[in-house]
Amino acid sequence: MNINPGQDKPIFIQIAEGIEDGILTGAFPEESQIPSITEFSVNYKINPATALKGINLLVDENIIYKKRGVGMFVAEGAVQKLRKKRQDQFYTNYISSLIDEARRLGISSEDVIAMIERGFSK
Amino acid sequence: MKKILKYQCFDLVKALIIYYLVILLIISLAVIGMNVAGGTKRSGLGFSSEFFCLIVGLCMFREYFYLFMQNGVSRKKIFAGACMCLVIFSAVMSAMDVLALYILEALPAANVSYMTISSTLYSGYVNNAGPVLRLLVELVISFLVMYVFFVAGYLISICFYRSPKPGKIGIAVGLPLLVVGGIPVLMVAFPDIFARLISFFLFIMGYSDTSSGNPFIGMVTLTVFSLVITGLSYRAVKGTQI
Amino acid sequence: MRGIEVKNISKSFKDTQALRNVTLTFEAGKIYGLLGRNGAGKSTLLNIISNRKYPNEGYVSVDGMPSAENDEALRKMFLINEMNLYPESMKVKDAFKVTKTFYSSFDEAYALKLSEMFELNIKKKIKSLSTGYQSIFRNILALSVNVPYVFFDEPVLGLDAYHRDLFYKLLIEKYSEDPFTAVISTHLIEEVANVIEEVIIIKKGEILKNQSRDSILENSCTISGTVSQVDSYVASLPARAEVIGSDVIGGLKSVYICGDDGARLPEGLERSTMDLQKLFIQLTSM
Repeated sequence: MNINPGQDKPIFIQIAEGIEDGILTGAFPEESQIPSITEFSVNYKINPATALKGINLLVDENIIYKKRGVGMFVAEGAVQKLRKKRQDQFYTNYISSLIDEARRLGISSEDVIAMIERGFSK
Repeated sequence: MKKILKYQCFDLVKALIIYYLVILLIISLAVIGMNVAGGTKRSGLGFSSEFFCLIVGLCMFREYFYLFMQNGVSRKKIFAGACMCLVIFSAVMSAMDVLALYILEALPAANVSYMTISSTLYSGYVNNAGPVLRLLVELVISFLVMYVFFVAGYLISICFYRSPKPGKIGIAVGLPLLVVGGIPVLMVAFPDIFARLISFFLFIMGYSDTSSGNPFIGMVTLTVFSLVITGLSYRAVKGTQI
Repeated sequence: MRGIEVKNISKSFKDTQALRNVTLTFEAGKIYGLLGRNGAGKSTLLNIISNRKYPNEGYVSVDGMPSAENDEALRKMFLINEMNLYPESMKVKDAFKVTKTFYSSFDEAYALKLSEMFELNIKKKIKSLSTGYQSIFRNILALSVNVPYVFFDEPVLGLDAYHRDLFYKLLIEKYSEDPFTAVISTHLIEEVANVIEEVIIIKKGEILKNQSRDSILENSCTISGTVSQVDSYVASLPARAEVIGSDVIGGLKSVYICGDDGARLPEGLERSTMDLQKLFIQLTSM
């Protein structure tokens, strides 16, 4: 997980996305405990309120749940939920910027599609 | 308050112990020397205590003020602690000095006398007074004198700390010059004024060269001095900023 | 009421006005960044709050009590700055002991543990420590004192990268375990940007910004594009938006805006976020 203060995204979003990545790659399996707010904030030298804000995003989406006095755990079905969410965001996160750049460079939609197919067949 | 008093007393008591060890050493040497050479010596050792007080007073402001300010003590408390400390030290030192005076008196073979302010200034009175009254006068006078010297040193050091550079130099140069240079100059150039000043000073101290002198006038004067200098010091501490 | 209230504080020295009618509050249990250029008045403000200097006007209250010359209020605060107020010939370990006698909440064992972590020799006299280690010594005091309000005036001055990192980690750890109000005054903004929750920007003795870091950053952005496009966009901005600076290079222009509403941009213009450092530089230039 990589937190980069110089990046355009707010830190709390980076924390949330970092944990999401961890869940998707299997570093944090479902029903396993994730590090505490303190561990996150000390490790990345961020204010605990920021770490909490990031984690609360995931709690609100039922990807993480809190066990009082024990810690925070990855919810059952979190991977499925995250895949669905990332798929939904795929167009806005990747395709639209791809099209913007293609337009600036004068690449036609056929050429773009051809490139994508070439990439998939590798 | 208790904490800062304790801290200061423990810190300063080292200096006091060293001071009296040195005094003891000097007296012993003097006693030996007098007995070898013969004759009697009136020592001014009692007066050196006043210098000790002045110097301790001069040294104790800044260090304690800084330390206590860092540790969340108000100026009021800092001042009260310093005053209490000076009162305790004046009491202890006056007792020590009077003790030294009495011991050397009781040992005629020592051939050395330990002069204190009151035994000098009010010798006529002291020699004729009963033992209790004499002890009381000795103790109270030297207590007050020491306290005045202590707190005067304290006030001078606050003024020194608070003055801008030129003022600091002024105090550092001016005060010694006044004592060492000013008084002799005054004595020579304006003998009338000087003589009047001295007699005025002796008058308010209750000294008299014709009669036996009145130490109680001196006590009142010294008390007034102490109160005035203490009050000025309080104002100076209250206004001090870091 | 818990927290520190600074009300209409003004302070002037001989020929300079150090603080001008400063009003702000420090809430309990938050980390504040007090940011300003050299000579902006940061140290003076902290000195006044902790009763080392008197204001010419205004007052400070701590948990509802006036702080000036009030021992009960003073015991709740601890300020460290570049001045060493401990006797110079005192040893580090004795300084810990003395502090413990005045602040009963001071954790001596923790201070010793931190000294080991920073490799601070506690047998050394304070005056014989290097500049960096003097800072470390004071930081250890401040981290171990356990009072509700701790002021760090330029805490990382003279510290190397490793020690700076360690300091911020320890601060966050301490804060996570038992939240207290920490005010960090610094001009090294990048390092504290993510540590702090609230931002106070001070310039020439006046408070320019006083809000949460997130809200200040959410409402600030850089708009870039061609000069004419940017200028017409700026002209269309609502009154509450404030242009705090701009850069022109060739035909391209960037403007830095506080209070941008995030409306959709005309074609050709680009909006990017601003980090705290950039915002600070733009706000405090001139």
